[in-house]
Amino acid sequence: MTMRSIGLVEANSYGAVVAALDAMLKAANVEMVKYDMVGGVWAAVFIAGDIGAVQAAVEAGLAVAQQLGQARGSVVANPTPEYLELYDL
Amino acid sequence: MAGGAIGSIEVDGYAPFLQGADAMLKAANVQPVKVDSPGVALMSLYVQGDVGAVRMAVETGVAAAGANRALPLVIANPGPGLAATLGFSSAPAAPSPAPAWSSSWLAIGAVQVEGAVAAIEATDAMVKAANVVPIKFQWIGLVWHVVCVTGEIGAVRVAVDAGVAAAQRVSPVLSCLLANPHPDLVPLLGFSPPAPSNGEVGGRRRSSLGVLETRGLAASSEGTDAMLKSARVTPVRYLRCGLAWLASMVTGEVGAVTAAIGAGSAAASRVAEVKSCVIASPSPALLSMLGIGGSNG
Amino acid sequence: MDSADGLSNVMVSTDGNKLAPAGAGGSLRLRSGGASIGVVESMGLSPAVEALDAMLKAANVEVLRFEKLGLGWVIACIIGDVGSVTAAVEAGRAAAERLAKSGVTTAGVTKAMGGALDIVPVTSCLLASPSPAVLTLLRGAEDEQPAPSGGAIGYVETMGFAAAVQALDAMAKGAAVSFRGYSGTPPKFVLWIQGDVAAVRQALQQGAEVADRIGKALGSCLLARPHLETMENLPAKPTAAPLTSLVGGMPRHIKLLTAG
Repeated sequence: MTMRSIGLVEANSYGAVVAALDAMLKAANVEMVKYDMVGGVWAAVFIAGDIGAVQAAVEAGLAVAQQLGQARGSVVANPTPEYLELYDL
Repeated sequence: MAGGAIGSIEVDGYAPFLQGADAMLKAANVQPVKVDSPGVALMSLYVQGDVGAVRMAVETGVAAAGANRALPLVIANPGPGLAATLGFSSAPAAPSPAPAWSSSWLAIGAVQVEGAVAAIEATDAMVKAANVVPIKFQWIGLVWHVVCVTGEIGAVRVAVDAGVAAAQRVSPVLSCLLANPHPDLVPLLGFSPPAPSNGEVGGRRRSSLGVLETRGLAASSEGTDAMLKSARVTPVRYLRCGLAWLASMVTGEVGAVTAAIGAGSAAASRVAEVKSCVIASPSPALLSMLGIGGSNG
Repeated sequence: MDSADGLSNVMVSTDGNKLAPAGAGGSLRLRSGGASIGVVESMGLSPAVEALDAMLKAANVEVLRFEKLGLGWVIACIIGDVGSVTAAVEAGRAAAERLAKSGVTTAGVTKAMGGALDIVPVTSCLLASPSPAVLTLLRGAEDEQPAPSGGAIGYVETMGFAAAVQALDAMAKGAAVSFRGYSGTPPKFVLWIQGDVAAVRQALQQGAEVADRIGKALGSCLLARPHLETMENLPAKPTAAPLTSLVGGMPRHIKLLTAG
């Protein structure tokens, strides 16, 4: 579990986040970890998997989310245990 | 039923709200019911009483808070079911007494800033400037944070000035000083009792505190990852603090924290806006307000 | 003056949010006998309280929901017969606008958001004959409506809760879709529907049109064949609990990281 990569897509709309999740799940072999409400109107979804899969998925998710609003993504290749604990993943 | 009028002031900004609420309760014989907020820096104090008293209280409150910031509301004859919908009890209850630990309070000072970094710097400055006790460190919605301290009036005045000076370099600031807050107001404001302060973090001698505030979770994720990998720091807390703003806090030796914050800022600012600060020697009161310290590892 | 006895059948949750109970047999019938719904939505508590007071005085209506949605937005929903609700919503909206026009409640937020959002301080909507989907949204899911066949889902995002309510009503009436979930991060609201691809597409279009008339439609998206995990993780349907307890409506691993 500690070798898994983490990816996230955040968008300024919950709808866009779910649509992005759908695209991510279809694009590669990743697993959904959780949603998070970032604040204001921003929301995010975390996924986990192998680094290649996570990168492909986040790209696909961003492509969808950016059409629906503003979106940003992040891929953390080798998250430290403290990172996982901080974000409660 | 006599005294069934309802009134409130709704104020944009916590500091003006305190001034307005305090003035309301001192202006006339009204009974405070609750303090409410719909989620941004709008705070309301609801009172009930005779319509004349309520009107007087609301007018005075608006004047004290600032007419351009306060919205008066007086309902002389509330419609059927209104009071119950708003959560008022139909019979005026005795206001709950101020908590016992507040008996030594004299004055309350409040500073409202935008952003966690500004709030943390302000709090640290306030508790170092004078003998005051922090009683509130709260994100009140959107971008605003509120820090309140209490103590003797001279100390609170000095502390508030120091807090304002520290914060206004990085954010707009509103502040106020209640020299003699109305006793019925205090229990409604949700102040927390000062926690026993413990200068140690993770059992080691006092460490430095670094705060990386980023706009958005993606930036926070990149920044935190860079911080944790660049130096030996321990993440301790993570705050959601505004319109997509998030603050990660780390502790460690001052050199490590500085390096980590630098790396984290660089990584995060590639994704979104970033604010950061390093407090080399954070006061124990600040750490306890942030919920850091004690038995955390 | 305080009609305490008339409120014996109304629940009050601990934070003062107010919900009317489900009637016996699943239909919402009150003393007044009506089932039309009106919503006045405003930024700031005072305009909403004033609106609610005006509505309760204007006609014989009852409170359906009075809730702080978050980020400064407050809704006051009432129910009654169509004539009463029409009169009440007019009065409530006028009252809210009187207070809101001073700009006190919107000034801070507008400045903080840097003008990114066009904040309309007061919106309202009136549904003479609301569909069951709207009742679910405003009162909580009761008996499960039989879901129409079709695995496509889609959402409409609106600016404003009143717009969302009206859009949901139009969608539920206009096509064979079922109300699947709700997410709210004020002032944006997202409504998920499910049905056949064609039905969902039609409904999304109608919903967006209707929302544009009241508030603003911010976008919509159709997922013709959603992944299984996506379906499992769609936002939930509202229950009788306050809408904000849905935490944006998302079901899994919700963690609110709050300060203080």
